[in-house]
Amino acid sequence: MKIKEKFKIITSGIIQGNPTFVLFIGMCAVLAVTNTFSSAFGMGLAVIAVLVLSNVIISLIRKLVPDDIRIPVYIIVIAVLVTVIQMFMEAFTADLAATLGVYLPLVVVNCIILGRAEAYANKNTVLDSFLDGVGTGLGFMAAVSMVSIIREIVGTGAFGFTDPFTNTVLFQVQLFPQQYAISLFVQNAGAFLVLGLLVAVINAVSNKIIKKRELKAAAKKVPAVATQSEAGK
Amino acid sequence: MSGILVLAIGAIFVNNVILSRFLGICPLLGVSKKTENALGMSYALIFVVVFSALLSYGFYWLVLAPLHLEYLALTSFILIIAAFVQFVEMFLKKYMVGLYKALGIYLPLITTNCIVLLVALDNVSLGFNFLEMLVYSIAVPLGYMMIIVIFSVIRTRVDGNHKLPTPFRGNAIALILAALMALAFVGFGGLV
Amino acid sequence: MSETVRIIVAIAIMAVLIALFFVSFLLNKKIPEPEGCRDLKKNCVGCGILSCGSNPANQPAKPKTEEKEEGKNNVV
Repeated sequence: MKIKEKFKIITSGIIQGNPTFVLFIGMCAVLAVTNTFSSAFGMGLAVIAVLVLSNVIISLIRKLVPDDIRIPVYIIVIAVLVTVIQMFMEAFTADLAATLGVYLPLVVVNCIILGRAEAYANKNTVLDSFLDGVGTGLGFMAAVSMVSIIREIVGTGAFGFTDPFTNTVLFQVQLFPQQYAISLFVQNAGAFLVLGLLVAVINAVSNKIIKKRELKAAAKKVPAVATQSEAGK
Repeated sequence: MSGILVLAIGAIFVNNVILSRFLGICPLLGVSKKTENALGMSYALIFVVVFSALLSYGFYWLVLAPLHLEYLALTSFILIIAAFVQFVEMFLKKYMVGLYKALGIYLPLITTNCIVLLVALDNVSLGFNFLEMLVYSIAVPLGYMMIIVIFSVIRTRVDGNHKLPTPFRGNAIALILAALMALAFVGFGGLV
Repeated sequence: MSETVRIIVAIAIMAVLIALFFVSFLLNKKIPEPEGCRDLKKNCVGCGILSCGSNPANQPAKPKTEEKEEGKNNVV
């Protein structure tokens, strides 16, 4: 049972608590780096790394930090962490760091990381916070992957992946000729458009699921009402 | 002189901080539902950006650069901005209570805002001199203000519309509206 | 300047800035908000940005239920 509960923490970060599609935080990254799948994937990896590490560290120190000053402490911890990870990325994945540019320090310092620290890591154990970091990071990764795949395929007609550590093109396939591609999708307006449409689709799907669940719950209540009235008779 | 003008126009229209550089999206979606919120947020943002840019610029060139400690820039800027906002809040609470009631609620949001940090980092990484830094720091939040106010006006009309399909309500239609605005602003591309 | 001196100076600068931030934060907390300002924060249900001090999730009164409702409101 315990493993199921732990697994639930991860899935809730991906589905119910998805940072991009449900909480709408950290949007800057989703829009800025998703014109190719490789850079989106790289950003996703970076966010998972920072999120997991910051959740673990903050969960470790949560009992030592007086409640009054916890937000400043978290800000400092996260800023230092991001600086270190940025240096790592510039050393080991130089091209990815160059592509992500200023968005890496900017976005990673903000909404998602601090949000999870404040909402979860300062109230839960290290293991739970670690899993929450993994879950939310995977949720972010899923979101940027979806957006970037759509943008890259529709926008350029090609789909490829470049290994960020060695900068080798792992594969590159042209799915349809470039002249039929809608280049709007790899530009700024396309980013907003794809994200808006995806959000609408996800809203529609989740509304349907919620309605199904409500119908199921209502159906379960009806036989109970019927048996009650029979018993009353 | 023309260089400064080009810089300002570039920062407001061509490389608009929201539509071209995708920063400050979170407050855009959250604060733009009412126009007075949007205006309040913009005024607070302009104030914080200009003064924290001044402080971080001064700190970088007077302390970090002579000691060759440029790698401390990110962390120090975050600390300077955060401390500055705290001081501003204190000052407003004590001496300008009316202003605090109007704008004080946006100050904590601005502390961790992308745009403040962005302007501070840009001033240094783009190697501006003092005048360029000043103009850039005023122009960028002005560009933000323009977008967020226009956005809020459009949104107040769209949000109350019952003909809008349910999945699109809320943030989905807001993002699509932003797409249309971004498309419109592409027209400024050749200006500078 | 030798390497160790530079590192010590860097740590000192960080310590000064951190101290500045903490002092300003604590002083700010001590000063009570003028009347009428508490109510403003209750009206703010804007976004999911939990690092904002104005977010209802961060106010001492109703921390957890507000947060879940916000999440649901964004989907539906």
